[in-house]
Amino acid sequence: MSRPDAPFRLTRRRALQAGAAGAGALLAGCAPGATAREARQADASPGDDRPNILLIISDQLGLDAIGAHGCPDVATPHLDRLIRGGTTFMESHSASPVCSPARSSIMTGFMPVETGVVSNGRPIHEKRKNLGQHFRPHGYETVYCGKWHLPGGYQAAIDGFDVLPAGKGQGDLNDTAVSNACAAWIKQRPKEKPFLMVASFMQPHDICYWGNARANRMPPDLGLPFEALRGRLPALPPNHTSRPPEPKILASHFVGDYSEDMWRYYLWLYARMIEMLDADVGRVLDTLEAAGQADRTVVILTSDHGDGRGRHLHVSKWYPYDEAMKVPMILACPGRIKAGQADRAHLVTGLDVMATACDYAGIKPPAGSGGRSLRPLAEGRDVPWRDFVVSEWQGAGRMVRTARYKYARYPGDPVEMLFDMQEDPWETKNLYQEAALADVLARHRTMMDDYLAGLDVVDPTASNERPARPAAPKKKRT
Amino acid sequence: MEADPNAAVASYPLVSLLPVLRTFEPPAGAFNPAGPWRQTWGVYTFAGRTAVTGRVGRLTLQRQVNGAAARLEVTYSKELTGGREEVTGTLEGPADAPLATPDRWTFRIRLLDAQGNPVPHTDITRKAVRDGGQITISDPSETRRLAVPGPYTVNWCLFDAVQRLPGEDTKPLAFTLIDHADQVKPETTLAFRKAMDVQVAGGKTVRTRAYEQLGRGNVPWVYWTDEAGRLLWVVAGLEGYALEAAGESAAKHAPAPYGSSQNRDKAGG
Repeated sequence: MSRPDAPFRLTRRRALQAGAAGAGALLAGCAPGATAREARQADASPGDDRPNILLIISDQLGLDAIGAHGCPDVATPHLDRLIRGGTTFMESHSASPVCSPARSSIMTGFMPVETGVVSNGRPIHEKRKNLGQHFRPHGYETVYCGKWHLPGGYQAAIDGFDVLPAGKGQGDLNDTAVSNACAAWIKQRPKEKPFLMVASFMQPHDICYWGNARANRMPPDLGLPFEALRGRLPALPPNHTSRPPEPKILASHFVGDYSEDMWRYYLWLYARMIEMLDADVGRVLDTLEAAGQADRTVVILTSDHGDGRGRHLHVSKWYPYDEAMKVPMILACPGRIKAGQADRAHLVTGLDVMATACDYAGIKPPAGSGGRSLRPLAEGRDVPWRDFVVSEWQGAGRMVRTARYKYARYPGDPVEMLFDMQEDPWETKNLYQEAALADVLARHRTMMDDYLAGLDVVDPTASNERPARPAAPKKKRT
Repeated sequence: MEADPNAAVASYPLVSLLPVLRTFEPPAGAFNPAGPWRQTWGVYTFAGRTAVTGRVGRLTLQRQVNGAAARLEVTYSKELTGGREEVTGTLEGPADAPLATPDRWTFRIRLLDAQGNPVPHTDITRKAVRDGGQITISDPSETRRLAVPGPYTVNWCLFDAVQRLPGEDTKPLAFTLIDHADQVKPETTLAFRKAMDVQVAGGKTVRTRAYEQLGRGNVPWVYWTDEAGRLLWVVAGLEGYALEAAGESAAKHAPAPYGSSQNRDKAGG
């Protein structure tokens, strides 16, 4: 990590330079074995050996909720093989722990205030191009299947993409159709052009509807609804009841009326939903391999945000704790991307998806994007890197994350948040009032202010959803 | 149930289908779950602040029996934004298999646009055949062999199997689930949950038997049959099914006896 806590704007300029250089160096550094692949590549896409890009987006998948990332409660053989066969970024942070804003950043390379998607159900501002709009003029076949939420959850038409129909329903009612459609299309598509495909799965987002008391799926006094699960439930997290001082809006989000059985059942359900996702990811990965496309397809897998999972007595997202903020960012392509690499040194964000895809495709990334190509890191090359990432949510909350600290604040609320992520990775001690860390606090405030001042903010686009209102505070049952 | 938290807990997770139950007319008459039959369920999705967000599809199963062999024909249609998904399948196996385990099956999955036209490059047909402890799944461009030691079944077959389970005398069944006909989900169990009375349209009460399916790669599935064995409702997370039509199968195309060469050639080729 160079230049600790240096202003982000400087690294943004470096990012643009790096992106341009990357575009000129398309496919340079292809691994041994490239010659053996050429015959198949020529057969697959005559005259165009640019790689395909397969972007897999999950919904509400926390970074540490995957088997290969250390979660003991879930079996994710397909995600695990993607991780083992590629590079996984262990300091990956969502640009926003909310669906639509995070997705707007993944799809454009800009922060939500720059896309106009400052809350759910808004379209991307016309000033920004999505991945499809950016890739299609460069000769890529661009296909989208699954959840979009910009603004519609599912849309029959999306600018820049051919859309494979999906939607109407939750969980398996969607994701199975998405993986089947993507698998069929990969096998049967015309082979003249490389493709950019987005396979956007719903799971494990279904867990949202267990945390919603009004939906009646976790009624009070439910207890453990399946006795056969007793003794098989995940343990509660070590910070389950941790309630450090929080800004008022955040303090209103916690869930205090679940019994221990209900919390652990919630965690068990979440794990099963991740396994459902895993099976659908597996169907697409199997197809890539069977179609002889695996070694000419850069797979990028990420999520919009994580889930509370009972940490800090939270469900869902909308806040800056790691359980909502950290998401997988996995890159894989045999022969191109380093296999078995877990990158713990570099802070990455959903903004980086666009720049990374552009780099591999030899396309100039959008001017002014704060995203950086992860390609050099994924290929094991050391490059100067950013010193912090930023996240925003609810049009007001902001977070800065450096290698050691997390700083967050809501405007108008005197309670700020400062966590030492090395000493306190479960975020149990809010240090914003520690006199010894006043300097650290001041530096992080400045970082955030400078960063925000450098953004190309646009007017929020119109929302098709009612503004979210946090539930009334609940008391912990005794 | 909705207003009474205790009832919501007692009926969990059937409470998700509450709005459907209010207008549900239970089927009448005799029923032989071991014979030929045809049943159609509405497919529902749940979310948000209401229990039922909407009916999004239809599932029809037609069971045919010929001697020791059974065939289950699946027709599934689900609405999508901008189109719909159509799944048709045939599963064949021994008629007396407790899990309705098929030895071979064929599924065709198609996407249609809003006008009903096929979406290009999305029509896929998969065939599967059991060979010892292995299942070979193939489509025109791919053959995969799945190691499946021990008992197994395919998800739609459980809609059939539960109708012949003996209620509280059911011994728990452990198996590998082949979900959606090609996804291997091990460590699955199916067991009797409880008998319960459920109030439906007009204040009528239906005595039901509930069975629960737990395992890797799925949220719990709960199946409710009436006392004759007819499968009335299914709830799995945010997905639900409610019986809409039930009758005896026309059985015009009864399968050849189980294990015959004619049977094998048709399904496994």
